[in-house]
Amino acid sequence: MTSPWANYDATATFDELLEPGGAPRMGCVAVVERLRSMGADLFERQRAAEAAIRSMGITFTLYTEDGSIDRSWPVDVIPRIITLDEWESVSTGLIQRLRALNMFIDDLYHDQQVIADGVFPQDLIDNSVNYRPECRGVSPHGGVWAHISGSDLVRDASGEFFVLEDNLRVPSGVSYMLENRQVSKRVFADLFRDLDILPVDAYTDRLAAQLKELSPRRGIDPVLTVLTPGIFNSAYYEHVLLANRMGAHLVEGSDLVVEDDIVYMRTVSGLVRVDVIYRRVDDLFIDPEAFIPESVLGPAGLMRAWRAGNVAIANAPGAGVADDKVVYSYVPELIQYYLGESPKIPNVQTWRCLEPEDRSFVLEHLDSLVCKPANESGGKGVTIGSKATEQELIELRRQIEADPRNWIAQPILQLSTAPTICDDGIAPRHIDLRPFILSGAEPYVSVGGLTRVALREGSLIVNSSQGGGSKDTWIVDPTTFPPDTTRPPDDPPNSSQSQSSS
Amino acid sequence: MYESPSPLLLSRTAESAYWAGRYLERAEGTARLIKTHADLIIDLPRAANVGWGPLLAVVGIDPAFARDHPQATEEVVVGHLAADPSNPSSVRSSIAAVHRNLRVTRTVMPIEAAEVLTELHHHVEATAHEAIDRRTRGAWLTSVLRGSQTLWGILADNMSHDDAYCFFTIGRQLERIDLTARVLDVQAAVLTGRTDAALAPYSDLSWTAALRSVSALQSFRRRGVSSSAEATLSFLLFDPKCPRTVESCLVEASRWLLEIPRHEDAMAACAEIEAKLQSVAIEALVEQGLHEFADQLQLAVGELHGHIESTWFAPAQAAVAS
Repeated sequence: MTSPWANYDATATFDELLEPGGAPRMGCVAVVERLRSMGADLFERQRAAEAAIRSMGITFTLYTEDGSIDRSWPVDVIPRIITLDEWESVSTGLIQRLRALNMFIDDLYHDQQVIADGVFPQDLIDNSVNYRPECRGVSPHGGVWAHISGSDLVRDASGEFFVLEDNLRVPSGVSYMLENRQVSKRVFADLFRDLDILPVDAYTDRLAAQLKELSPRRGIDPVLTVLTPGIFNSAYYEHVLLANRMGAHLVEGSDLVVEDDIVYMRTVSGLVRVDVIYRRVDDLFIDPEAFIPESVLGPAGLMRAWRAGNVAIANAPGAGVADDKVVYSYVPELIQYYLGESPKIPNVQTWRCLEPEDRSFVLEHLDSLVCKPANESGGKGVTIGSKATEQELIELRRQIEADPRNWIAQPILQLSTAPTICDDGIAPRHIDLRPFILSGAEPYVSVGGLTRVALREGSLIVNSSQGGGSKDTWIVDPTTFPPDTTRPPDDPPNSSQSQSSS
Repeated sequence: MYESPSPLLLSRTAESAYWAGRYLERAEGTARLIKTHADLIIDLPRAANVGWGPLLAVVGIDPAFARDHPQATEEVVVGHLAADPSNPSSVRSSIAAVHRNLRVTRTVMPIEAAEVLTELHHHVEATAHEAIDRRTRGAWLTSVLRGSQTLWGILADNMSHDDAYCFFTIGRQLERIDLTARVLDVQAAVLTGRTDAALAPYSDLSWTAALRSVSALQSFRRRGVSSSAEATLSFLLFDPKCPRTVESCLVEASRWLLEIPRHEDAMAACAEIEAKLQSVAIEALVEQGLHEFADQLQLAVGELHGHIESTWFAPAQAAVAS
C-alpha cells in the first residue's frame, strides 16, 4: 500500500513541515517521521479526533438565514510545528508591537502627541468608527488599553513571518487553541510521551493573574467576571471555557447592575460587587446609557463606573481605535515613534486608499490585490482580486471611490501551507496563525496560537465561518529530541551501536 | 482553621442548574413510568381494559394531541411520552432541555458531567425511535436511565457540594415529589371506578408497579411487610430510608435548601408540605380521594417552586451581600 504522503507536493509555496524535496524541515523531523510511519492509521486518528470533539462538545456557532447552528469545531490532526527559537523571536516582536499600540491608544485619548508630531494624520481619528470621545482623559491601570489582543501572522513563499492584522477589540479563538491541544493529547498520546511539545495551558492562568492585577480594590480577592453577549453568541463556547479556567463568573448584561457608579452582579446571596470585567461585548453595546440605548448586553452606567475607577474593563472601551486596518498600516512608524526601535516583525505591504497615489495604484490593480475594509472582522468584505468577478470588481471600485479612508489593499500572498487530511489523502493547505498577546506589567504571548487552515484546495480563506478548519500548533525544541529521531518510539535503542557512535 | 465560603453563584446560573435537575429527573421518571406500565399491562387481564390512557393522563394531555390521536394506543402513547420532540415533557425533550441548559450550567458542572450529558443527548436524539418498538424499548429506556444515573453520580462525586450543587439537587428532589404524585395519580386512574369485582386480584399488581416506577420496589420488599394497598401507599409517602419517597425527598430538599442563604420562605413552604403529609389518613385515601391528594401535593410543590423562584431567580434584588 502506498503511503498517503507519497504524492505530497511541497513546492508551490513555503510548506511548514516539509522542504520542497519532501524531507522534513529542521525541527519537524521527529514528528514527521512518526506521522509518516503511521500510514493510514493517521486517518483513524482523524476520526478519533472528530469523535472526541463531538463528545467534548467543542462547537462554534454559525449564523445562517435560518438562525444559528452549532457545528462541531473542525480540527485537522496533523500539527503545525514551529521551533522554539523562531517562536521566541516572534513573541518578542509581538510584545514590541503591542507596547507601541498601547502607547498609541493612550496617547490618542490624552495629548495626541503623535498627531501633533505629524506621525499620524488627524483626520483618521476624526473619521474613525472606533474612536470613543467618551474615553478621553481616562487613564487605565499601567496605561494599558488592549490587555488581550490577537495578531494574525502569515508566512509568505519565502517563509518569513508577517503581521497581517491586529485584533484589539474582542479577539476570539484562544479556547480553540487550548481545546485543540486537548484533542491532540487524546489522539496522539503516544507522540506526546516521546516529544517535548511545549504546553499551552498557562495562558488562562496568566490571563487571570493579569486581570486580577487590574482590580481597583486593593488587598481583597477581586471578583472577576467574563461578560458575554449570551448563549447565542458565536464565541459563547470560548467565554464559558475562559471563565471556567479562570474561576471567573460568566455574566450577561442582565446579571449586572450599576448603583452609585459601582457594578454589582445578581447572585443567590444578593448583589455582589464586581471588580474586573473581561468583556467579550463590543464597545457600543456595553452600556446603553453611554452608547446604543437599546442594548441589553451591558448594564446602564458601566462607563460611569469605569471612568470613576470603580471597575476595570478589559479590553478598555475605546481600545478598538487601533483595530483598524488603516491604523495597522502605520504600526511600523508607531513602533519607531514610541519605542525608537525598528519593528521585529514586518507588516504586509499595504496601500492606503486615502492617499491619492496609493489609491490610483490600487484602482489600477484591483484584480491582483486583496482589498479590505478598515473595520470588519471575520473576513467580511474582503475581496481577493484574482478570484473576483468583473461585477464584484466594479462594485469594489465604487465602494473605494465613495469612501477611500475605509479601504486598504495588500498583495495577494502565497500563504504557507501545511499537510492536511483531505478527502483523497494528505495535501497542502494554506494556513495562518493567531497568537494571543497579554499586555501589562509582565507581557505574555501564548505558546504558539491558533493555526487556522483553509480546507478547500487553493483557498486563502481560513475563517471558520467560511469553511476554514484549524490545527494544533506545536512549539518544539529540537535540541531536546532524542539524537536518533527516526527510531520508532517503542524500539529499544541498540546499545552496541550507540556505544560505537559515541 | 480552613474557611470555605460557597463560591458566589449567579441567579441565572442557579435557575439553570435547578431546571437541569428537574428535567433530568423528569426524563428518568418518565422512562421508568413507561417501563413499568408496559410490564403491568402484560400482567393485567385484557378484560380489565387498562390501556395506555392512564399514563397519558398523568403527564397532562395537550388538547391538540388528544384531538389528533383519539385512540391512545401503545404506539401513540409511548411515542408521545418517550420520543416526541414536540411534547416538552417527553424523555427526549427533557434530555434536550438539560442539554440546552448546559450552555449555562457548563460554568458550574464538572467537564466529565458535561461530556456524559452531551453523549446522552446525542444518543437519545439518534435512537429515539427505538423507544416505540417493543423489542428495543426496554434496552432504550435502560440506556437513558443509565446515562442519567451516570450523570448524577458524577455530580455527586466530582462536583463541589456548593450552591450550584444545591440547586441541581433541589430541582431533582422537587421533580421527584412531583413524579411520585403523578404515580399516585396513575394508581387513582387505574383503580378508580373499578370496584373489587373486575380488578381486585390485580390491585396488588398495580401497587407493585407503582413502587417499581419510582424504583422503590426492592426497598419495600426488604421491609418485609405484606403488600397491601395501605402498606404500599404509606411506604411511598413516609418511608424515611428509601430515597424516592415523598418524605425522603422533602428531607433531602430541605437539607440542601438550608445550605443556601435566604432560605426562610422556601423552608416554610417545605414545612407546609410536611404538615400536609402528616395529616393524611392512609385508609381513607386508599378508598377515595387519591386523585385529589395527588393534586394537592403537586400544588404544594408548585408553591415551593414559586418561593425558590422569587427568592433566588427573580431579577429584582436589593440586598447587598457584605
